[in-house]
Amino acid sequence: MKRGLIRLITFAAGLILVVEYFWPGRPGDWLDVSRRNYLDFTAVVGAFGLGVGWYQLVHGHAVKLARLRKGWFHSLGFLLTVVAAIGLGIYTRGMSPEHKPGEFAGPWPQQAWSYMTWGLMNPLVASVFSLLAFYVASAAYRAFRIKNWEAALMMAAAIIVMLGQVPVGNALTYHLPRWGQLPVWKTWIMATINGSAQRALLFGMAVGAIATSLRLWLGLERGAFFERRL
Amino acid sequence: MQQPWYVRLQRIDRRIVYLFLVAAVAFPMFTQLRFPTFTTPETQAVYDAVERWQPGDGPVLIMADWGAASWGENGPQTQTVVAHCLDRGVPFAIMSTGFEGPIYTSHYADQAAPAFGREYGKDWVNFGFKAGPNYGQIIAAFMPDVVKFVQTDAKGTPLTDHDKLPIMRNVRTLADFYMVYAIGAGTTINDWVGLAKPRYPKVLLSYGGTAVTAPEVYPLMDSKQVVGLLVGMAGAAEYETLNAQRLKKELAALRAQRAPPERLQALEKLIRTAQHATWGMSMQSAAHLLVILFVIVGNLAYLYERRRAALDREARQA
Repeated sequence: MKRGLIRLITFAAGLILVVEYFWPGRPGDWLDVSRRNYLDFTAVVGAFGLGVGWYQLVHGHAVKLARLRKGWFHSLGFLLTVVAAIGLGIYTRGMSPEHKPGEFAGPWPQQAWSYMTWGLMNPLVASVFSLLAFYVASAAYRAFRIKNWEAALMMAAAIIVMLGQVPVGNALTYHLPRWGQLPVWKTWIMATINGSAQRALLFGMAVGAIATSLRLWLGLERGAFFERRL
Repeated sequence: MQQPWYVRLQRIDRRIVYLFLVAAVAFPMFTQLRFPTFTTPETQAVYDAVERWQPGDGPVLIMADWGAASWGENGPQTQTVVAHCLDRGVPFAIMSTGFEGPIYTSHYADQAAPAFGREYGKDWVNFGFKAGPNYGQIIAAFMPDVVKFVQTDAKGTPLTDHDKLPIMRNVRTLADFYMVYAIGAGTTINDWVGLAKPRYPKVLLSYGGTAVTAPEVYPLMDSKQVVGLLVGMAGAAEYETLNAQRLKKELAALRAQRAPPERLQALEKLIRTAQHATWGMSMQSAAHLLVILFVIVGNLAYLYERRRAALDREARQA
């Protein structure tokens, strides 16, 4: 019974969106209003989902901290950060509606929020992603080996694109006719060869997405609510 | 027993590779080395789209879905297009699904506005960020009724207060926008193409993405669903070059007209400082050259090792 009810709600909700997409109503008619209400409702459900996710995280780390399991200090750091970030964020919301990056003036809660965000979080996040450059350089050096002619072709294309993407490539070949310039070759590789391959991938992904979506919409998907006894 | 040189050359310690990379990236910083940029057709297309804007076309929607992680690429892409919009008088609205993007974008607008005599509320508005479970659902809810979905700007001013926000006077749905410029580290443009283009075909779509995600957008450009594309920091540098050429002409014209000194100073400062991507491309050039060099060295050593092994086999068989 419950499984049937879930399938019915899933189907009805999906039906509104599908019908409205292929048969768009005039603004204000019942289909348009239904779609908007449905989208507002999903935003609310999504917010509840965020709350459930937060509860799981905080609960898991709190249990780890209470029982002093291995790595409990990481959980302590996480919980203190969560409390500080959420507490300061809510407390400072009314002080200044617009936080400016790098601005550390104002009342102490706002200063603390600014230091935490612009002084700590942003530089850390930027640094972590900057490390990728080192990993890519090291991995490219170790792994790219010309073992056959396909690998040689890929290597040549990679070198042309890498040089064509940066001003050095332009500086090396700008005196040549247009057909000999590295940036022109790079644009051709990206637009023609890469474009064709990406288009093929997009087709495949789209067909897969349609198939999966249909299965979910019609309740044919296994797992989650569709097979468990409720 | 020490390994032969061609084996050691394939296994250089990664810390040495990192040191070389640091040195290569730092070198252009100290030498102020610059190379001319080549403007690609995809960047030129975005620039031309902003240039073609006419009064009455509606504002541009800048979807700043990026943060500190991709600031190196998305930051200059945002800054340079914002400066172009302010210069041309193209009104724009800032929005995002994350909290950082609108703050950075608004900061860029505040920095550039004095150079062009632009005002918040009249020339741009910041919608802030809208959180939601799914990017597509945020767009789907935003498109048919912008005012009802956003309600207030980031400062709490209702969008219906047209005295404080005259930019919103004729904006009701996505159809009232001229272009959506989606900037981000992920391919958010796919959602715009799938959801917005069928219903609002006249709204232009453009994308500013990291160099990793930009290749996926080329088919969309080919099918004319996306008008143009800024590829990573290189795209931003190309756009900055196009901007700088125009801004320098404007500065000369303003000097001839004896414009107010504060406006001249603001424009000079903008020309001087809005060159992050151009500056960064020198370092990226050095990094690319170094990676190519290491790959070539590693492969030459590998090919030599294979040749030696083949010759040794022939010698043993003989």
